Amino acid sequence: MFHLLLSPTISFIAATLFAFGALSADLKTPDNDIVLNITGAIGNTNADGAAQFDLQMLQALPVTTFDTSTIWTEGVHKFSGVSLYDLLETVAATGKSLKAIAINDYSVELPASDAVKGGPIIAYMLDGKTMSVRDRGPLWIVYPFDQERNYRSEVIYARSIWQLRDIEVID
Amino acid sequence: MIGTLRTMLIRRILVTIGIGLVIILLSSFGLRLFEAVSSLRSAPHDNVQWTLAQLEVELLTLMNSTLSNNQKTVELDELRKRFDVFYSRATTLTRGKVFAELRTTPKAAPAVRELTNFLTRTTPLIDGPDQQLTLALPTLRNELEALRPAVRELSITGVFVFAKLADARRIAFEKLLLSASLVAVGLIVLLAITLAFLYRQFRISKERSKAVYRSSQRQIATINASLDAIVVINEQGEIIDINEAATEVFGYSRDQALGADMADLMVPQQYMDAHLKGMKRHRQNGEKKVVGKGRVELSALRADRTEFPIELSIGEAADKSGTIFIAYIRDISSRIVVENELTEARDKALQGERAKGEFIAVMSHEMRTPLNGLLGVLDLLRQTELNGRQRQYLDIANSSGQILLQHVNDVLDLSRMETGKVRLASDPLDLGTIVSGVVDLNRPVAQANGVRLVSTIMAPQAVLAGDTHRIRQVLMNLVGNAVKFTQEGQITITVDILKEDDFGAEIDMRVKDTGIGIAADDQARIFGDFVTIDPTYNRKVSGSGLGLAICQRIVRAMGGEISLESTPGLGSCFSFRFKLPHWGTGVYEDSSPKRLKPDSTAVIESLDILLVEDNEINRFVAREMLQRAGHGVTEATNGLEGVDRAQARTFDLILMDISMPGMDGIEATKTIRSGGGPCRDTTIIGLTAHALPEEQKRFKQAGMQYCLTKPIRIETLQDILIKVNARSATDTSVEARDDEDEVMLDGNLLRELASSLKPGMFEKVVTNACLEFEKGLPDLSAAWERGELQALALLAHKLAGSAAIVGATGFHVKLAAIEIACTSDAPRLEADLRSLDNLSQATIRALRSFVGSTPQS
Repeated sequence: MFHLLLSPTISFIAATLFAFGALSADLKTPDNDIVLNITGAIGNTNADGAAQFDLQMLQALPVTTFDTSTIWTEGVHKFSGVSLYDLLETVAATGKSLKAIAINDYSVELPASDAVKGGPIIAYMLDGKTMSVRDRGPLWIVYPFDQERNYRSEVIYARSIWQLRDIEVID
Repeated sequence: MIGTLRTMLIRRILVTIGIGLVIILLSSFGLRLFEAVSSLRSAPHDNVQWTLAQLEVELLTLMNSTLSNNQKTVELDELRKRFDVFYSRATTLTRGKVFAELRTTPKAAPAVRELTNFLTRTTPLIDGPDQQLTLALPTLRNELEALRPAVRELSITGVFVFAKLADARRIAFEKLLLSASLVAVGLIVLLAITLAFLYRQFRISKERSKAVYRSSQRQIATINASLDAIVVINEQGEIIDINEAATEVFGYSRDQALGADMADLMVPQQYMDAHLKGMKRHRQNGEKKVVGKGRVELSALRADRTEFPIELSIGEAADKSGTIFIAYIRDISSRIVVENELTEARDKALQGERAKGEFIAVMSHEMRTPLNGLLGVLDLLRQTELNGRQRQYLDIANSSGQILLQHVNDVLDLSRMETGKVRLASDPLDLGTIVSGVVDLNRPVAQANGVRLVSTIMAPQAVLAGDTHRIRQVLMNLVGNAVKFTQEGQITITVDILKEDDFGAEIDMRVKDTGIGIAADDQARIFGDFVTIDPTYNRKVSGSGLGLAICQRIVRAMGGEISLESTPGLGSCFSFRFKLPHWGTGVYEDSSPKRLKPDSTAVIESLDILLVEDNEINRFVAREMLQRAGHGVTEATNGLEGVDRAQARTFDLILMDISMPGMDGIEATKTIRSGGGPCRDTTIIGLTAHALPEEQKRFKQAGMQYCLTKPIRIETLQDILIKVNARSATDTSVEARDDEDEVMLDGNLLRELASSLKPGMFEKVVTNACLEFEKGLPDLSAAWERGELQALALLAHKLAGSAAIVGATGFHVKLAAIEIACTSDAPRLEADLRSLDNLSQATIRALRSFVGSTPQS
């Protein structure tokens, strides 16, 4: 049970050590509306101290898809997006925690150690369709709740922020 | 015992079942607990109150965004975003599963409906063109205002619902904790019980291991302290243990021995095969030959490959690895040595005894042969014309020879008794006659010494049977001694009958003198062999020192005891007690050689005699004696010549020396008897110095009728000749050839009976007696088989009476013996009965033959 919590930490450390991997190519400048703005302790930027993404840029990143139910929706849905792990690698994040802020200024802090392979994703598609703000889009941090019981806790529910807009990487 | 066992078993089963139930109970508790904790961990709820409150906040924010403030107009994009945010919140409430419970409550349901309706109504407007939206703003604001109570209601209801839910969860959690603690308590109790049980088991096993240790220590000490070697082997014959003593005995160290094959180390070649076979047998079918069968004597090998004798005993036990054999081995080398030494010593002693016996036999022969010549020639000399002086010298020479002969006879007598074959006659005897004879013989010497001889004799009620010669010998010796050692005094001879019953009498004979007496120290050893007490005066007659020793043996042979009381200076008293049976009761075996009564009046006709003798002197003397008596003598100087002469013609009598070079007398006799020659049935008389009883028996077996012990004296030779003459005169069938027949019939009695009865009457009496014997014998056997001893005794008595009348002496004696044995001696009775059958038939034959030969007058 505990290794599931420990091993992501190790993975993340590994990930930060090789921060300039394949994904850390120079970020291009977004062409369309910016949907995600990442600031703070990051090594890869495309604006003034920030990494800005439009939906296409996010979709260009490796896609992670899983099926899960959530406490806020009915039934099981297919969520697709970029995994937090890949995203942080892309921006060469070196921080220990992330502050995620929603459109309505709701914010929540999540430890960088949550960003593991097979962990949470920044979902931009639900059941193969992009999500509107009404559907808690365009971006929603979703954990694979059904796959891992440790993700079915109130803390994780609180971290599952929807209508995501900004991420601040805190050192 | 069985009850206890059953109770224990039941208890054990109950305990097991109980523990099992507790474990199942605790497990299910634990499982439930685990499930509960799991469900607690995976919280199904978000922070619902916050979400509900946020709905209100988002509503207010949305309302705010519909208001135009003073600075700027309503920003539609902001309005749309706020609407979308509100929308997302609302749909979470109206569709999210977290709020499913809330949605169904009566209070919340209308509010939810109202909210849903609002969204449905408003969404097209928001999504519509800006113009319409701008126009609809006041309406929208009002509707939002109207929606507030519903949202408020949802919020409040949510608080209650979720508070209740939280309560329920708290209670559930409390229950969970309670169950958890119960499970914990249960577990603790179970652990405590298990601990106590384990502790108890630990204590028990510790005690047991201590006991096992103690016992194994004891065992090790026992094995090591053993003086016997102990070797333990397994089924394969490998040594698995060996004790201290074994290492010493075999010379292998413990390390050398352990694991080695015992057969290689300790079993000698000659036992190897048997050992391996035995082991194999045991492995195959558990057959045991030596194991558990006690001690076996074998031999074993030491480390230096020397063999030594052992005593072996093997035990068997079961070990974890199979059967083991425990061999106890004792080195018996020294015991065997001692045993061998003892055997050797015994053999040597026996050999010595035999050598002594042979020496005596040879000596007696060597001494008698010259004596034979000497005394014979003296006899011949006496018959020549002698003057007074010569006669005197002759007397001295003769008496010296007699003394020498007496000494030789003493030694021979003793040697006979040594062999334990003192055979006592059982003839009718008269104690008075014996005593007066002895007194008469000793009177001349006694009178010469001024000693009076007095005798007092008590007569028995019935005639006693015994060995007159032996009793006279003892008495003669005692009186002779008394006379020798008494000067000027009195010697008293007393015969007392101490007790007399139907069968016999107990007799006490005493010889009391007033002589010099015997010192106390000498009294004990005086009965020893070759003992002489140094006398204080000159003895007239020397002694061999054997007299009292012989007396002692004779009296003991008669079942009596000789004793001595003496005071030096005052005198001595020798006394001996013995029992004698009444004549006819036959307690003693009657097998003494027939004594030939001298009959000087008998007239002997001239006989044709063959004399076989190698010694020239002896031959000369014998020839002279025989020729003087008027017999014809043919000489042969050795056995072979004797056989030749006997082959040539018939002789009336053959005198045969026993020991001769080449063919001896026995061989010659056998040849004459077995050959078909004319002398086949001639009487043969053995001449011998071999006077030992077993020797004489051998002569008779060879076919000699009589045996004459050398030296040959005129008187004894005369007796024999009379006997032979008598035999040839009457029918030889009356007195048959062998020992038994000699005592079978009393010829004189029969002849007397024949002459005293009327003609025909004698034959009738004898025939009737024979018939009675024939009939009576089966009755005797039958009575014996039925165990009726009284009837047997009566029958034997009756038959004995008849036997006595017809002079069947042997038969009579035997029957009388049976009659007595019926009251006392069963084993002998059986032997007597067995021999009776043959005796009866022989007696009947002899009687009938006697009757047949008697002239009918």
